[in-house]
Amino acid sequence: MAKTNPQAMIKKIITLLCGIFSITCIAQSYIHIPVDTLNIAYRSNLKLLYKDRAAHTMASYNTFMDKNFRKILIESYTEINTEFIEKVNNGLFVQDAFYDEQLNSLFQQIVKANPQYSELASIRILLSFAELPNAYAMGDGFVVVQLPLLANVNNRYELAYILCHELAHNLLNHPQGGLQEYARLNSSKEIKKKTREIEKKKYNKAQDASGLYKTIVYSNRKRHRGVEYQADSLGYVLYKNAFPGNEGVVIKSFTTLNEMDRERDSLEPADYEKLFSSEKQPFKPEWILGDEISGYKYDKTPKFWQIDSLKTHPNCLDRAQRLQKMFAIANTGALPESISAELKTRAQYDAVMGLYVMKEYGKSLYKTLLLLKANPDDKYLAQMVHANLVKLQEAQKNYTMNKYVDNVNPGYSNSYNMFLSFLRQLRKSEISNIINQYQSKI
Amino acid sequence: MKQIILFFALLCGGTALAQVQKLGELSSGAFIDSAVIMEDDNSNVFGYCLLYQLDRKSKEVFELEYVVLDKNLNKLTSVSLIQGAFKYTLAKTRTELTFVKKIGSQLTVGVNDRKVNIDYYDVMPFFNYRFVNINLDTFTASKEYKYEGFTKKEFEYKTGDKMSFDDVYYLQQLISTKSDYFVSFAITEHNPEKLVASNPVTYNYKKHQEIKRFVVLDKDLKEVWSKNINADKKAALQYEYLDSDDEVLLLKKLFLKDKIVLKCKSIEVYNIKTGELLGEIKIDDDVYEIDLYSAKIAGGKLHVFTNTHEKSKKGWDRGYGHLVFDKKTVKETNRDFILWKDLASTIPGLTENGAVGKDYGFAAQEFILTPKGTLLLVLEGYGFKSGYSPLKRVQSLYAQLKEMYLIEFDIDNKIIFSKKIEKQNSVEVYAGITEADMKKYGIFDYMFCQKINKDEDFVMYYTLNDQEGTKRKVSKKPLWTLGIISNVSGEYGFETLPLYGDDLKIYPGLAKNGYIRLLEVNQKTGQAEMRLEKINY
Repeated sequence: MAKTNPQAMIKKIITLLCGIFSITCIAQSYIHIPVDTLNIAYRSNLKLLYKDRAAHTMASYNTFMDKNFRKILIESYTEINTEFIEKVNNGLFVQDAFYDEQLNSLFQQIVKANPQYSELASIRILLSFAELPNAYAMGDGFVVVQLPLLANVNNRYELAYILCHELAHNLLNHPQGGLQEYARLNSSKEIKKKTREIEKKKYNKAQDASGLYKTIVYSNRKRHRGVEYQADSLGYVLYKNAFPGNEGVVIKSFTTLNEMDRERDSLEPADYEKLFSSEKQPFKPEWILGDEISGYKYDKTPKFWQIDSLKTHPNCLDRAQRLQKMFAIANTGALPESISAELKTRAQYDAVMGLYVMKEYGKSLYKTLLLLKANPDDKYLAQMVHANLVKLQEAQKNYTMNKYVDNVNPGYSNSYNMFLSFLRQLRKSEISNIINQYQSKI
Repeated sequence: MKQIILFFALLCGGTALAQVQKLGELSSGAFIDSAVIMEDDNSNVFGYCLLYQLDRKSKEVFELEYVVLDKNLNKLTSVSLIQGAFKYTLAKTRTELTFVKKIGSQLTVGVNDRKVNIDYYDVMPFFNYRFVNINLDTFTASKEYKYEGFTKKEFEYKTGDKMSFDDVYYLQQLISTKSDYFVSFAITEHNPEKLVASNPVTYNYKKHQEIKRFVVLDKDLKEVWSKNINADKKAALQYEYLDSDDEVLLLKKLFLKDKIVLKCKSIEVYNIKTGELLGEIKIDDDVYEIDLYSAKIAGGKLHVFTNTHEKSKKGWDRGYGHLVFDKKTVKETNRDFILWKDLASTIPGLTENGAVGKDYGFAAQEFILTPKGTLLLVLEGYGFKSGYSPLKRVQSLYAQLKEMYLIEFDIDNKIIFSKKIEKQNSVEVYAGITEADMKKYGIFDYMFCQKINKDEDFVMYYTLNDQEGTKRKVSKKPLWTLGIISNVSGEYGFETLPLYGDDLKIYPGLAKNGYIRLLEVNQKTGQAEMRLEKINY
């Protein structure tokens, strides 16, 4: 398959969408203005800032005397830097005045209320397209908020605590600490010696190697859970200083986080009938009859790992209890005002564009359909259905559809599995008809 | 440190594309072999079994892991077992999956050892047949067992155990049928050590005469029925499994004469559940000399396809025959011949002997019974030419595979569709290779045919070489491409899919109905990804 220039692709979509908006303005009350995915100046400035900070960090590695340790550290850090720049070039980081206002108003309040942490002021909050609702600290004064997170928090205080938690990771230098721990393990003379001993063995090599490997991974994950507790605590302190009187939300935010991955909406057979019926091609019930999971029984017993020892994060509810006990947080107080409907909707709409930019056409289409069933006349969503289907049609033609669409899986919801099965039930002519159906809605 | 990093890579894999199942993620061991698991009734793919070596415990004792996937490549379960395998200093051997048969919730996994780089003259290249059952309800594995003297014998291995050839001469193979049974033939009654390891080139009359019984077994290897054979000391019969469904078992019956294998002129049809002999199909004809080419069970009928020759001393090739029998009564209901002379209008220059020019002919690759009741013949053209081998740097013999023909016949045996598929391929072969051997060793470009859906629409695959330029370039750097021919509601679709890319090689394989399985191997990193792609129709 020929490589697509992502910038040109995004430009094309934006142009198409701009065309839609002039029409949508008249027809609908909510007009979605998609996040600008073509802000070249933003990308250039971000890369410059990142490279400057990365150079500073890289220079600091010269203080490490152990050559091997330093070499591994530099290699790992360079890999991270390359990956970040690639993400920027691919348009995964975006800037938007609306989101900036939402995030920076909270961030500035945190900075202002915590003057003792002067480093906070230089931290940049970045917004990223992503599959999952999440946020993470990158080190070098960057915290990344993934767009779907904005659509999944209940109120601005929950978002504020999540920000505080990630800012705390940066203040505690956890990202660099993790890298250095990795370099330490990989340059450890003791581990090298043990590895050499295993290599020399003729028999039982794998048994000994997996034993050593498990010890390393479990110990690493245990350390990781420890740093999460530290970030929870310092994050709480930052939050409390900035939003006094709303401490109870912190406890509730863990429940929100715990349930964030749970699918809250689904596509039912009736939805397919509404979404995929046209005069030219009525809906066919056999499109959604495929069930390829219920005939199998899946073994859920872990065969190699102890799952609890593998977790990078402690259980959310345990974290809430620990924090509540440590800081005597009262689980009371008035329920804060919900996050604005506009923020939620914009984040949901932009998230489907994000998935498209990430070439996750199957997921983008599924999330678009979930939104479309509630807003059947929305032209932006119709455009996203059309754009995703065109990409999927091309992929099917090239026998690469499985690169962009998941296979049915027992770990997915019934709704998502039905969607995956539906997509693959469609014949060539049927996909073309559906594409035409949505083309006419744009 | 390298090993740890490598090990880590095996366990965690990359994150480039989440959708595709990375082989390395499924086991911490080294990949050995894989096999397709069919549904009990053989109508569709149920899943896949992957065999990994987890560890080596001693010279001939290994910890093996069997990973079972569903038809969508999701992991169903994995079990590991300590098993013995032959390892000797003088010849390289490897362990492989013989078959994986699903009956209800039980998988019977056949495993054998084989010599690496088998040549035509190898004595006993495949050996040490053993089996493991995997329960798909409890996700447990049985002990390893072997089948010897019509009895199941369990084995347990411990570090330091040694393998002995004295143990393998007496082992019986299990043949997996398309219903809930296995078939197993006895080993020779006398001198098994000598006769099992007979040379395939000098065909052994005595070896087959000494096989006196076969048995049909259930999934627990309990005898369902059996039959004594070769009672007549003056004759020798060789029986071979041919086909089956949930009602009948077809066995090829070959009459042997001294060191010559006579062509198959008879098929015995048994009730697979009771062992009742329903009838014997005698393959003969008043006008032509015919012998078995292949057989199929479909829609209450037994379809027997034959090679067809002239009844004369010279025995000129005349084409193929299609004999139809009622499955219950084994009475013949129809007989047609597809003669080369009748195909001359479709294949320009074709003589009544099936040749084009001096050294070019055609071989049937498949007879497909279509859902609308027609018969589709897939023919592939081939000839031989000597040329310079860039690999061996000597003059060698090449099979020239230039074209394929699809010819469809209606119920009155009239041609209703034909299509020529141009391709260009050249494969190095040994001198004296026969058409049958070319099929056996996968020299032809035609691959296989598979059902697409419940409507019995079908798809077939073949390979072609996309490389252009000099003969040397075409032969040395082939650009393999997959040809895909679909037939949906009677309409043919023709597509090609490159099996190469930047540092990529793609290997196609059997998948669930309507899909092709593509194993994509990155030549630089060695990382392998397996994905399922829907047939584009």
